[in-house]
Amino acid sequence: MPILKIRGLTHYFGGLRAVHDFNLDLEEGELIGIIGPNGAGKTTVFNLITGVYRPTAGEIIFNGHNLVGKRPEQIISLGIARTFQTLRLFKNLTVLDNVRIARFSRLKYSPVEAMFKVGNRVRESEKETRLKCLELLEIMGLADKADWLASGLPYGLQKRLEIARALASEPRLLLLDEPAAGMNPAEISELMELIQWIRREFGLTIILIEHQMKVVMGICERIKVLDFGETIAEGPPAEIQNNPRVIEAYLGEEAVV
Amino acid sequence: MGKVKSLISAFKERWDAFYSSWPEPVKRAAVPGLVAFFFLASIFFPAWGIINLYWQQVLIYVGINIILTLSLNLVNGYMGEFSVGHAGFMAVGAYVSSILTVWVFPKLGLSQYTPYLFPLALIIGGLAAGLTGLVVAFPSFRTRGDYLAIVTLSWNMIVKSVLENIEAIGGPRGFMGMPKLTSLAWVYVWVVITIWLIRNLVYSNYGRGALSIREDEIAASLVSVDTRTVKIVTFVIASFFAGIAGGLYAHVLVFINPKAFSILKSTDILVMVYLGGIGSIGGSILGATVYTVLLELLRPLQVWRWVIGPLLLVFLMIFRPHGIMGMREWKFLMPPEERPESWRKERELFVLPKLAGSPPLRCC
Ligand SMILES: Nc1ncnc2c1ncn2[C@@H]1O[C@H](COP(=O)(O)OP(=O)(O)OP(=O)(O)O)[C@@H](O)[C@H]1O
Ligand SMILES: [Mg+2]
Repeated sequence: MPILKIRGLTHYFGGLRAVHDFNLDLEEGELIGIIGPNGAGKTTVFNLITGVYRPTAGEIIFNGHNLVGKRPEQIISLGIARTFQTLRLFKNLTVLDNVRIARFSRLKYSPVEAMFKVGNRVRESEKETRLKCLELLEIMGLADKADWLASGLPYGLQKRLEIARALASEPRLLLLDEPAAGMNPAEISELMELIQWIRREFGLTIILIEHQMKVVMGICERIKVLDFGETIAEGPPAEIQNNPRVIEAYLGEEAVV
Repeated sequence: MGKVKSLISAFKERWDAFYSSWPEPVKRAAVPGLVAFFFLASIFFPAWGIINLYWQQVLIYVGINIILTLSLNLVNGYMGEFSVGHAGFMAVGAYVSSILTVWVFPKLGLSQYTPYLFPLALIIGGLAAGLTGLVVAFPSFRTRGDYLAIVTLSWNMIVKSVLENIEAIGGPRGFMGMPKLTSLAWVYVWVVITIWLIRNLVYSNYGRGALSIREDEIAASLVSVDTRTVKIVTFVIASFFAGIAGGLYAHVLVFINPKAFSILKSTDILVMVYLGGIGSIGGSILGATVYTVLLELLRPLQVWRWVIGPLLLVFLMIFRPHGIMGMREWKFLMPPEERPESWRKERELFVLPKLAGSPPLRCC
């Protein structure tokens, strides 16, 4: 059974058809890419999966749960995490807090317990959260900056912090929206390694939106190509590279390879 | 300005050096020790005549205003919403606790116990205020968007006119006959309790939830924060403490009237929040203290005094929206486990040994 099943996903912004009849069967452990020219509807697909918008039509089934109509926090709590095309860190909060916040739905104590710190439930679950997140920061090479404000980090580390924040909720499905944006070639190859590493280490299923062909072609097993909301091609990287419709859609942009 | 800053930072450096030279037990006992000292002072200084009646009164107002400021800071500072009717919740607490001490306790034949039942009256007043907070919060936070300012503004005006129209509690003339139960010591105790409870909340999952809403509400919901629940919970807790402050206020003045809880009072609380600094307990303490004392000194200005608050608010919002210590905190007000040095210790003690065996992340 696929971990994520999308059928006939369609979304209109007023009269603009941003996504039309998008279908997907994603198996556990897969890493697939979504590419397409600017405005093709890629980010909108992520926004529909995570409940930012309610789709005009279609269904999204994650791990047996129907996601359509659920609020974002409910969807995320089911085991999905995402990053954003433009960084959306909590800038005035510390690095550790940025990561800890992603475990919000896992901490079950009540506000009254929090205020009175009764018993050990609050203390212990807070300590556990803190240690887990410090560990994650250590793994991601951010531990020595745990008390920095997120806004104080250099861009590359902010990007990595966003991935760390996504991992902190222990998701099964990770949605990465153009993680390589704004990176130089050296940083990009580092990122590719990082993505493959976290995928293995955390047993993740990943959907990757990316403009950098090097990344998508390099690490994705399967690629979907969107153009004006339509899926115009789908298949392994080698096939996509030579697909005439894809080449046409990208005409005028940088070469596909 | 630059000179002041460098003076402050030089002082801070020296203080930090001095503080780190203390032995560990002294460090740990310092804050509780100070809290206990001030408690004793709040009892004995007035009794020995070290603080005269006038300054007792001023300090009592400072304390009440700290509670009001800190609780509003939860909503406006930590959570980044804009509530403008805090005095409405204060009114609920003031009237409910007064009804208890003036009518209910005596009717139950408990007159001689009233001083001991005072905390109960305050808490019931706080709970009533919290309940009305829930009623206000529900429609305000149902949908995204900035309804809170409008809803709380109307709430404040509704409370005032409702109180003015209930003859049984004095209507516009006001309600009196409360015993003078609010002493400096009581106010001090409530200030400490409020700071402690709100600090614990702020440094918990809910506090982080509130902060993330201020920073980016949609991103917050996309990292699993139940934004609606956090907003409602935070708002209700803030209302509760406004109610407590109202009860203390009623029992120091021993006379309350609806006018005391008008939008002007709410504006004063807003000024104290933004003067002291958003998202800061230390800032709330500073803001409330500075503003209360300032108004006391400006008493000769009479009616013009009411211009200062709104004017100061506008200037602050434009020129210094973060206030004196916006989003910063005095270390002694933070729970020990939330101080960066404790994070570093935990990293060395638990995280590094645990990861020592596993291969490091190759790409970094
Ligand atoms: N909130 C919105 N309201 C109205 N139109 C929108 C909204 N979000 C996106 N769109 C439109 O929907 C279309 C698809 O946008 P989307 O952001 O999904 O594209 P994309 O494939 O992610 O592009 P890019 O590569 O530039 O990120 C675009 O035409 C965009 O202008
Ligand atoms: Mg996009």
